[in-house]
Amino acid sequence: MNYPLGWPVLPGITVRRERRMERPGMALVEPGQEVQPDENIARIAPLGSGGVAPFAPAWFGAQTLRAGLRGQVVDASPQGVTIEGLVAVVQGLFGVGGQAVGQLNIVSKEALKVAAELLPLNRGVLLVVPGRLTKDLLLHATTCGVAGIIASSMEVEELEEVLQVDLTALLDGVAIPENHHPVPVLLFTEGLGTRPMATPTLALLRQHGGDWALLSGATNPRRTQRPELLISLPAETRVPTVKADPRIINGALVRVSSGEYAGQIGQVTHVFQRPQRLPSGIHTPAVYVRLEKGQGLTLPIYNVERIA
Amino acid sequence: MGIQPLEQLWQVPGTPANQFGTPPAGGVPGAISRSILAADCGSIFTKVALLGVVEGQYRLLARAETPTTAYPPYRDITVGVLQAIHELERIAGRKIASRGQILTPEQGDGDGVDAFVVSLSAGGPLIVAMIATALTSPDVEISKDEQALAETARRAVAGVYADVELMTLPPAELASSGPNGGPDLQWLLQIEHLRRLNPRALLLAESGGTPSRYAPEVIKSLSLVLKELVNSQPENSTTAGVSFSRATLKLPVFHPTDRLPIVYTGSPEASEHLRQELGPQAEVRQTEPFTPQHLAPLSAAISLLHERQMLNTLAGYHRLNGWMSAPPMATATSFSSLIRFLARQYGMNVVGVDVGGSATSVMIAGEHGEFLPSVHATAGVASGLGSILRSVGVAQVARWLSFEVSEQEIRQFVLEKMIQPHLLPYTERELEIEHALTREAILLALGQPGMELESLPNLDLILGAGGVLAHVPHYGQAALLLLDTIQPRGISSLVLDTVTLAPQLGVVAVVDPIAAVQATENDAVLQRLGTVVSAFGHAEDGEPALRLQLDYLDGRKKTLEVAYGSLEVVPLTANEQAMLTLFPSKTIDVGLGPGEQARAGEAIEGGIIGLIIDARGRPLRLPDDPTYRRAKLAQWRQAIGA
Repeated sequence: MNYPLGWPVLPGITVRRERRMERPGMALVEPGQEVQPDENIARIAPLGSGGVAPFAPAWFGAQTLRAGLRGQVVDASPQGVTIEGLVAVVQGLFGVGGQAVGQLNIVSKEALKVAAELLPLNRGVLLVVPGRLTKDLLLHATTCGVAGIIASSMEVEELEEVLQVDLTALLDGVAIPENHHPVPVLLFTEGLGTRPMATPTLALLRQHGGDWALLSGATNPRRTQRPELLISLPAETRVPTVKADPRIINGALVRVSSGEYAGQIGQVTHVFQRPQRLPSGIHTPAVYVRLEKGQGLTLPIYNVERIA
Repeated sequence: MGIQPLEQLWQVPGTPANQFGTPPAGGVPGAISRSILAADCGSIFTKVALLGVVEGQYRLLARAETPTTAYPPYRDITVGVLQAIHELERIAGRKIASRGQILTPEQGDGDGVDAFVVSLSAGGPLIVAMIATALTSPDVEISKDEQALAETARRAVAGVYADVELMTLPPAELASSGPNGGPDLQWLLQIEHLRRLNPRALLLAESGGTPSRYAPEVIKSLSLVLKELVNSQPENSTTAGVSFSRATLKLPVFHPTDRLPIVYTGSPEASEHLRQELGPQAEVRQTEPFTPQHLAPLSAAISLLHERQMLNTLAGYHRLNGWMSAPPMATATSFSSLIRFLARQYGMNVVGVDVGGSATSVMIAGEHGEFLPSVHATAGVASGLGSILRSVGVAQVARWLSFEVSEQEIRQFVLEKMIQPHLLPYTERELEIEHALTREAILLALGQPGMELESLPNLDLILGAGGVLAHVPHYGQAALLLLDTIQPRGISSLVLDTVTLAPQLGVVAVVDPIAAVQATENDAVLQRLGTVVSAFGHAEDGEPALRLQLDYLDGRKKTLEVAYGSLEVVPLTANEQAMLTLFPSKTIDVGLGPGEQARAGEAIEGGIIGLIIDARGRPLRLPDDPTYRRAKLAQWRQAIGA
């Protein structure tokens, strides 16, 4: 139920997305036209007073708009351009910011062991951090002009310190980051905290190093709006047609959503017909999950999410 | 809220109530149907309940719940309703839906139902931006008069899933004072501020006098702002058959052809003038000026807008509407009508508490028709947790915990639940944090403008409802949650809606009042936790507060001394009754005045917990010293079995 497309990772799906101009502009493409992810598709009027807004760097200050997706234009207007294309998708639990376009740069686990400020980072890329994002790395990426970051998680207080915002207010839409430097668009696959990245997510990202992608950080859990990374695939790519059924049923591959085993993956081996008692004492519909490491757990059906 | 006349909703048994013809064979005399399916679509979970006739009385036959599916990946609220119905079919052993439709009426073989009704709290609150009369930046403090008027407007909408935010507009000249005639950055920032607030209606509050409080330059600015807001495209794009929110900043979901509703509390003439000034982007709805004594017209106007702007726009709503036997009702309205019914039917002062995922309602109704509704539209125990934490702070939450906790742990808990609203507390520690936040949600609802609990000094019945209360592992936890927050004085009954039926009964009453009455008596208020005696006054902790004598109807007697600051439970089961006599100390009051003895006029009833003596004083003050406080909390929990 957490993911708009059913599962957090999809190797191939056709999507339609609008690249919106927040200020009226001019579309450079027409419906029916094929576009590449790095192609300019619109020109946006310059911002009035020339100041740099402290948020949404993807739309304030930008003079041209890149497609972000490889595919066909289905609609173009002074407000935005809608493109349909084949993509691999990674959906996260929490994100920050608007849209960003760039090539995926995968940071190796070894590189994360050195001091963050020593990491060579390229301007305009989408950085994949195969684990927790630290404050130092986020600040360094900001300085280097990285367009977006995909990481497993980040600790609440570190993120709030960098963004200078109360994250609960950000999620409720009643506050915006108050830092004075545009921060990269962020996607956290496992949410907030210190959780490592799930293996299937990391495996898919590793396949696509160097590929163009469109990243969105917008998050509104009340409406199941989640951050997403759309990695453009060549049109001729053959991907298996899978219906991403989010139901928790026998045999489903699931990820534990909270508690001591959060982030671990397992298979549902039994769906209880009657409510089960949790360590908290609550009786609730539950499933028995066999984790990858062999351990068996009875978990509330609402505390696991289907990933495949 | 739709504060509708109670008589239109609940017909007292024995009075003509049948709007659907004669009762079907096998039904209850005076009732309209043999079976009713009631669904309550909340922000997180959808609950369905099947009511049917057992031995001549309406009873709850089965219930089920599943996640609400108004948003992606399903994006159709009926999917969750059908999933819950299928679960209910499995439990009840009868077919209720077939080929994606509700089977109505009830079939000869017992399948199907005679009526299907729905209450809704999904969709979130209606955010109403009240426009200030001064043109200024959002950082400048708004005048006290203006803030007082906004507070009165909040009182008017206290019983509705709505929130009033006072907003200032930027001067119109900033729209074109930037380079090249473009907007100034300040203009863009204030527009962005408004967009983030995501108002679905505006309020222009006139006080009733002339000239208008709003100067022409404010209306000019508003006209320009409306063009910016209403021209925001809807957020939808689609993917492989699944509609999907646009992945950019959160913008109001208005189609370019939509008009933003503006509630205007001025004269009809001024309203017409406003229509002309604001142009096609505005839909001006004129209503009477409001004052602290005259809130109903504004309340009704906002209630209607909530239904139109929030409920009608839920994905799948129109399909759901096609199944219904009666118009849907906001859950808070349905719940309030139950509370008012109980107060009137039994001549009692009643308070009902319904804690939901995104909102919390407290409804108070008096035996003489008094009614105090309060919906805190953004304080709930899932998506509404952030609002609670920002309103009260970490320390207020942590004070209820029996263990030391860091700010980081509380914030992590809140954010995790906001991000994944379906999560259930897995450990005892998580459950205790959730219950601490629940207390603060109820206290916030009680603290809403216009809530004066003191106006009903003796609360006869306290009814707890909503998932977090209904699913407590130990009934003592629910009792303590209600006592810590409602803090009754004197003698009250505590009742828990363990079957999550109470919030649906108001809408059931619309199609079949007798079914609603019988289900209320038989099931919704069946789980009596017990009778509580709340003593208050001045004494030191540990000093004698009162002595009580209990004369059981079977001849047994029991006396008990209760110390000030303590909570005690005397065994009195649900099937037992006893005469109660109270001997308070000189400075202690049990409802009749300090030191006044009290003897119940009739036997009191027991409950799952028993007779609870709450001698912790009013208002309840938790000790400042953390160690002592935790010891007291543990003591109270142990006493009540929490």
